[in-house]
Amino acid sequence: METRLYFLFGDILSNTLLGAIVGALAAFCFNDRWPMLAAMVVGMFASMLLSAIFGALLGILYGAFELMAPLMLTAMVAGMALPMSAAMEPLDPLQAAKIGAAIGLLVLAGTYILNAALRGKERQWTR
Amino acid sequence: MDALTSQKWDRAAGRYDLFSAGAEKRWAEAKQKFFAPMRGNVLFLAIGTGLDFQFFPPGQDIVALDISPEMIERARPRAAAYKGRIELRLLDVHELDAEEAFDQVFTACTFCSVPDPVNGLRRLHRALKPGGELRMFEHTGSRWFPFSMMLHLMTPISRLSGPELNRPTVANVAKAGFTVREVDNLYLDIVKTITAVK
Repeated sequence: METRLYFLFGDILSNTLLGAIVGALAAFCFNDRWPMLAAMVVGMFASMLLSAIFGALLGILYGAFELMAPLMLTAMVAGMALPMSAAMEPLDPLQAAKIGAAIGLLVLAGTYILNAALRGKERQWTR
Repeated sequence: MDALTSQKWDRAAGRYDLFSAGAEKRWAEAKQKFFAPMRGNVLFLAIGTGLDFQFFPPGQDIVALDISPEMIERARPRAAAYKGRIELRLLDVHELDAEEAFDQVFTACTFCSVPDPVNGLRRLHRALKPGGELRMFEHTGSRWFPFSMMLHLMTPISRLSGPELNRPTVANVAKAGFTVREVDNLYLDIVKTITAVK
């Protein structure tokens, strides 16, 4: 796990902020006139594009790769779940932003756990 | 010389330091450790603007290559400030014709961008003395879903201005004739150091 406060702060900030923005945008951009599947696919790709921009900009401060991996995952999960939910029933933007931020935190925690498992010397390498 | 690649990195040179600043900070300690075993005649491939020179142990004799004239110009003051000898050369790795000239080759975030990576690695293999070491600090594709899928999806975008994100660099090293000795994952299985021998 990242233990340096500067980078820990950057990881948390970027993931919660991206999740919140995706949540708020989902509440504004999608409604029950959208087919659920279309909302999910459009939401996911638009969010992933947003995560690339976010990663490139905040990467200047915190390092692009270590931001990009959890950010892409946050974008994918929040970008699918929240537009789908908005296509079922109207979402309150603030509530959606909070859910998005929570998704960002959960994804970051999951990435830290996976990183702890994968770090170090590999026994079998293919890539 | 691959003109397209050279021009791509010439265009990137102006913003290179800015966009690398976070990664340099994040990986400073790991890079110091990575470059610590430098010894003998060393070839360093793809110097960029010379940001990595600060991590080189002092007193080394290093030949440093890059494909971009603009990058080399920006690296010059950093090379001059190094307490040892760094000779900068403008060269495409695909055209490297040195034979058994170096004890070690170092690369740092290089083989995400070399257009024909296996051919480039074969050139490095030829340039090393028998028993010589290849040491790489690279980012690669991932074996793990969903990161593997995401890196594949992002590569067409990232390729336009810089690196590819889904390269199987460890497999490429083996394909080029090296014996892979060690792969050490630094971040997930994406950022890693690779040690291989001729």
